[in-house]
Amino acid sequence: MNIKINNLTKTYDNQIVLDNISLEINNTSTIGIIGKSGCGKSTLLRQLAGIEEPDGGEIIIDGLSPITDKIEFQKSIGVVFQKHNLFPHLTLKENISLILRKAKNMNKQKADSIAKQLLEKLFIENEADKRPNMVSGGQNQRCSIARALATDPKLIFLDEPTAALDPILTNEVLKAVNQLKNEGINFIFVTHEIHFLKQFADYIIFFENGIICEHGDVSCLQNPQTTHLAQFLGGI
Amino acid sequence: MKKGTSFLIAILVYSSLILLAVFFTIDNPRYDLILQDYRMLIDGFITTILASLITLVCSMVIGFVLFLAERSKHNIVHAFAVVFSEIIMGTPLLIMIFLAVYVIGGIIFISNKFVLGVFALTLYMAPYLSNAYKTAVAVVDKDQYIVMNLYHFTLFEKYRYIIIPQMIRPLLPSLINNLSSIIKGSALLRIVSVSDISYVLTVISSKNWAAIEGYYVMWLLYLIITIPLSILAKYLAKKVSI
Repeated sequence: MNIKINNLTKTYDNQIVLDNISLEINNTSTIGIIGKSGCGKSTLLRQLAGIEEPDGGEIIIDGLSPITDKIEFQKSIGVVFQKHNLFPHLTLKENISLILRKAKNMNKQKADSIAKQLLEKLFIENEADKRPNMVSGGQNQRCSIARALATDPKLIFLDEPTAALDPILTNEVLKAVNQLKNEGINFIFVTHEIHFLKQFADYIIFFENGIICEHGDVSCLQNPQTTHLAQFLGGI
Repeated sequence: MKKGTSFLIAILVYSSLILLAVFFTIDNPRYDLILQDYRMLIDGFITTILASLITLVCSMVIGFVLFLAERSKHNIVHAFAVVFSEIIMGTPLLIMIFLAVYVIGGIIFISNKFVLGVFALTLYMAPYLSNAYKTAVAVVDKDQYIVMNLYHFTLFEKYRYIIIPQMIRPLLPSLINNLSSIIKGSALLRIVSVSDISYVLTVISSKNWAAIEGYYVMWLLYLIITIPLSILAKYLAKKVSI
């Protein structure tokens, strides 16, 4: 995956959240964005996924812009949210098959069958006919990953996917995303979990007060170049 | 004291007070004169129920259009819907019925009082139904809209697959409460000679010089319809919140 960000800016209510960010990363499979709460890392993720439009600047991910080529770009990605964002009135299977019917124009029978296969892949096929409020947080999050896979994405965005989960459920999610990484899917994710970060990321971006303080190979977590990152890691 | 026992006592006390009023506030009550025209009463009862149900269905449709218009991104559509709702909600039902029957009826060449009366009730109730939709749609949180937008759902698809199915449960108690309001409001249709319960009872009681008895019967008939509806609405509200 290749990413190029130029002069990216975003403000909410006159408060600068992304302050003229520029960055270029090439040939990386998984990028973890870390930083203190409220530093703007989820905002950066939303701009990269095309969920929100920045006030200024440009983003190119593998030749497409989430700003100017939004529809085409979003056809090639999946997004997993912190609160899973599954539709509560639909079963886990229906949550996926609806997206398949919508994104791939499939009939209901075929969409249901592929939805079941995706749930099997994430080891939650037994919960297929249950609604999100009837299964655990980890199962919901795995269903959310299965839904993200429905469009055959080359890149999946994860917005703090384990924030609401205990360590056992976190490991469930980690196992699932590692399997997908091995299958060749790229990831950009935001996390607070240093264990998740170390186990999953190839590249990290450390964010503070709307600017990138440090970025580089995941090994920089062992040997931080800035006092900001060192203090952040020391505080965890 | 237990909740059930308390309710039983309250119901017995109020029922006794109502019965005292019905039988002991009039000298020589002549309910037999009212009830001898039971066929007219049944017809009036059916007319009230029919007018109320048609009004509920029509105001659900118009209320939904109003609700969509109020949510419109087009400022002009939004503004027209909001101002329309304010005007209607500020207009007494009595005036609405007069306007429908004597003004709008003349303009659209319809003279059927029942149709125009239902039209007036529908217009009057539409903003209230629109408000009920607004409350019900709040169950769909903004995170779900993010997902819908991510997968580029059309407006129709958003409502068809995600929003409306989730609105139904919280909407049910409110719909029943509105039906109760429509039934009570329909009593005003008698001023334009629609033969509903209140019109029929006014005719029967005038004919028999039994005005107070007529009003008591009318009161009891409305209670017979509205109290079960109120209990049903409370039951559904409780089920929805579980």
